[in-house]
This record gives sequence, structure tokens and C-alpha cells, in this order.
Amino acid sequence: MTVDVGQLVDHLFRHQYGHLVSMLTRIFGFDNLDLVEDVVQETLVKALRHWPYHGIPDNPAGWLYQSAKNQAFDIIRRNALFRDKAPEIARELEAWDRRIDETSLKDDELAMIFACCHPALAPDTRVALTLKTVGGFGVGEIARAFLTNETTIAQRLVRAKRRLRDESISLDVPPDCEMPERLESVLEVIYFMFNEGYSAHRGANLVRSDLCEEAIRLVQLLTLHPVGSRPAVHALTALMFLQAARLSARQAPDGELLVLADQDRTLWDGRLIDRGLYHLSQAGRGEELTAYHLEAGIAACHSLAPAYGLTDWPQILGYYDQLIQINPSPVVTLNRAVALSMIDGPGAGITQLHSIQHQRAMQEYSLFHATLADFYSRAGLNQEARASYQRAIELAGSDPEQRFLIRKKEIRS
Amino acid sequence: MATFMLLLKGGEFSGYSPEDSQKILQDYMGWSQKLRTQGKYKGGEELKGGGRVLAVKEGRVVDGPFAETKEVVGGYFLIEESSLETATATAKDCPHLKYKGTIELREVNPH
Repeated sequence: MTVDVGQLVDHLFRHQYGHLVSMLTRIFGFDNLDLVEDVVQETLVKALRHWPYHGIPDNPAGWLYQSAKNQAFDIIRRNALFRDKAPEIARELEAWDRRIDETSLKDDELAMIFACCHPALAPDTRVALTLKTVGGFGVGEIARAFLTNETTIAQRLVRAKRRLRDESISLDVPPDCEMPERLESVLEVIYFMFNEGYSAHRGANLVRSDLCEEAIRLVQLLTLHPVGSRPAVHALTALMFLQAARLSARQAPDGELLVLADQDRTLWDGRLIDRGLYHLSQAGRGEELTAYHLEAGIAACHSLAPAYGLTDWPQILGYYDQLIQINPSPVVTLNRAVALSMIDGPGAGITQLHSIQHQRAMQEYSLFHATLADFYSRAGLNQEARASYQRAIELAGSDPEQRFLIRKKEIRS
Repeated sequence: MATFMLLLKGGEFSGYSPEDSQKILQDYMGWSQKLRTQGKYKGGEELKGGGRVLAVKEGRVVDGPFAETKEVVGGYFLIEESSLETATATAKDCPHLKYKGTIELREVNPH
């Protein structure tokens, strides 16, 4: 046993929290989710009180798991509430040692993800609950991630747990017939989590990589299980890997925003791109073509271009043409307009944006005005460009975004 | 050189996220690792909760009075230091003080 501080894996506690909460919830049921969380929390505290004296155990996860198990036994022995179920729970706890192999752990976590992402729960509570129980994030961390306060998140979690009980949502991987809808919900939650991490909406920092990492970890958990090894899941995994590959290049050393055109592509993570491309090829098997496939295809085009000037815009436009069929939203129109403008010139882009500019979602969307401003700039319409940049600045989310837009506007003065 | 005992009492670790709990652990590990690399470490153990407090009350041995939570000794370290001053500096560095813990520092009276 060594006392090497470097031995502790990043986010070990966070991930073990997720494993243990999932396994204990299967045993104690959702009715006892608060109790389960207390047990797991206490397990971590026991570790932190004990490990400093002789160092990190050879198998830290095993130590935590044993400690949680012992606490669970204590509870069923001493707590009258569990008197009836005690023998059954004890049997399940005894069986833990056999179930500790890899697949079983993932089964419980996977079932937990499906339960947390149940369509009966409100969308904002799904994400919070997933992050808290499977992700092992603290209430404060979740609040900071979603730029709200702890009380709001705490209340969301209380509502979520109540709903789980009321709807008698069980901890089971859904049956095949329910899978498509349930999986869709899970993917939405995971992608939402990723997007929140990828681009902060307000505040100083541009990226919150913990959320991105967690989203990728969860979607990978899905792909490793037969249930989740489907084209759509691989497509989303591909999309997230390909976008995550660019994370380190999005922010300049001084914290300023760097758009795709200005990013140093040598900073893109080649391993993440490779993994993204691997999942993209897996996504190509079978008949399914989802929006995730197309978005991943677009991301791949960017990842494979050695420089912005060498981007295969016709290929990207082709994907957008298909994407707009599946998802005719103004955001897709906006993104498609960028690709179009790279082929047919800024005028074509302006025309596209004018066709959606009266939509409320676009009027209040900073990126819409920034894109339009960029088209105006390229077309030599400086006055219009300045006006649009001004609008974009007013609506900008994060400080780096705002500063970026102010600089662009000043260039047009 | 003399041997000193550090008695770590109390400490509040509830209400931290798993990630923050890990950071706290790494804090402690860093400090105890440093004792070893500096050759000061002579021993240490965590003490389990529970146990007994024995005293005689009205002629009988009874269990109690119990220490308040913040007074409960959670564990001890034995360190070799040249003086009370250096031992105090080492103890002040211990993260325990940051988490509402107290440290009682006593020199071991050699035989």
C-alpha cells in the first residue's frame, strides 16, 4: 500500500457515488433514494477519515463498496422500517460480491439513467436528477452548471424524487417495446448536458468540460450495453466526441473566444476525433438515419478539414439539406445558411436569414444576429453589419462571446 | 529530536460534493505523504467511533460522560520533530484545521 497522492483517479469519488447509488437503489428502491444517498455520502466521508493514515487502498473502489455494503447491513439490522424486507435485502447484499463484475455495475447505472430520464419527469428535473444520482455531482455544482441557485436545484430534486415514487417508476432497463421512446429521452438529456458544458450561456467561462466529460461517459455507458448499441446512440456519441475534440482550441490562452475559422487545429484532440469517427462508422450500420447522424457527419467534415479554407462545404450543405427535412427548425436553417454562404456567397446567406428573421426564437438569439452581421460584413454592408453586431452584443451569453462580438463590430466602424 | 503526538479531533465533512470530498482527501494525503518524505512519520492510526468512556460514578464503573462530537479523537499521528515550534508548524499545515477540526499536540515523554 503506497501513499502516493497521484494514485487517486480523477473524479473517482464522483463516479463511485454514481455506481453505489445505482446499486443501492436497486436494493432499497426509489422510495429510499434519500437514505441511499446518505449512505453513499457517508461512505465517502469514512474514506476521507481513514485513508490519510495508511494511504489509498490498493482497490479504492472495492474499499468504498465494502464500506457501503456494511452500512447497508447495519441499516437493515437496526431500522424497524426494513424489518420485513431485511432477509431479502440481506440476500441481495450478499450477492453483491458476485455482481461486482463489470456488466452488473453498468446494468444498475444504466437502469438508473433510464429511470432518471423517464418521460414522466419534467425535462429540467431529468437532467438534475441524472447529474445528482448517476453523475455524482453536488447540488452546488449542478446549480453552477445551470447558472441557477442551489435552492432551485434542491427543489427540482425533491420534485423529481416525489414523482418517481408517485409514478412508481422502477429501476429496470425498459422493455424492448418502450425502448425507442425511452432511449430518445435519455439521448436528449445527455445531449442537453453536453451542450451546457460545451458553451456556457452566461458568465465568465466559455466551457465547462466536466459536464461534457460526464455526458460522454454516460453515452459510452449506453453503447457498451446491448440495449444502447444502436445507430442513434453511436451517432450521438460520435457527435459529442468530435465536438469535444475542439474544446481545448475554443478558448485562447487569455480566455478569448475563438471561432472555428480561427482555431488552431493542432490543438484539436486527435484521439477524440478518432473515437468520434469510429462511432460514426458504427452509426452507419443499419437503416436508421437520425438528426444525430447528420450533425455528426457535419462535425466530421470539420474535423477532417486540415484548415478552415479546405472545408468540404458542399458535403456539409448536403447534410444540412437532409437535416432540414428531419428537423425544419430555424436553428438548422441558420446553420445551413452558413454553409450555403460559403458556396454561393454572403448574399445567399442573407436571403436565408431574412426568411427566418421574424421568428421570435431568432430575434432573441445572439448567434442569429452575429451570423447575419458576418454575412453583411462579407458583402461589404458595413452599416447593416454594425447594427446586427450591436443586437448580437446585447443578447450575448458569456463575457468572452460579448468581447468577441464587440471586437468584430469595431472592425466594421 | 523528540516525538510528538497529534490528536485529530472533530472535523466536519458533511455537505461536500463527492468531487470536493475527493479534494479534501487529496489535501490530507498530501500532508501525510509529506511527513513520510520528510522522514518525520513514526506512526498513526484512525480510531473507530464508539468504544467506551469509563469512570466511576457512585461507586460503580459507568460509561460516560461522553465527549462532544467536536472533541472526539478521530485518529492520531506520531511525528519526529526537533522542537515544539517545528512540531507546531507541521501541525498548523494539517488540513484538519480547515474543516472545523482541532489538533491537540503533545510531546511524548520518553522513557
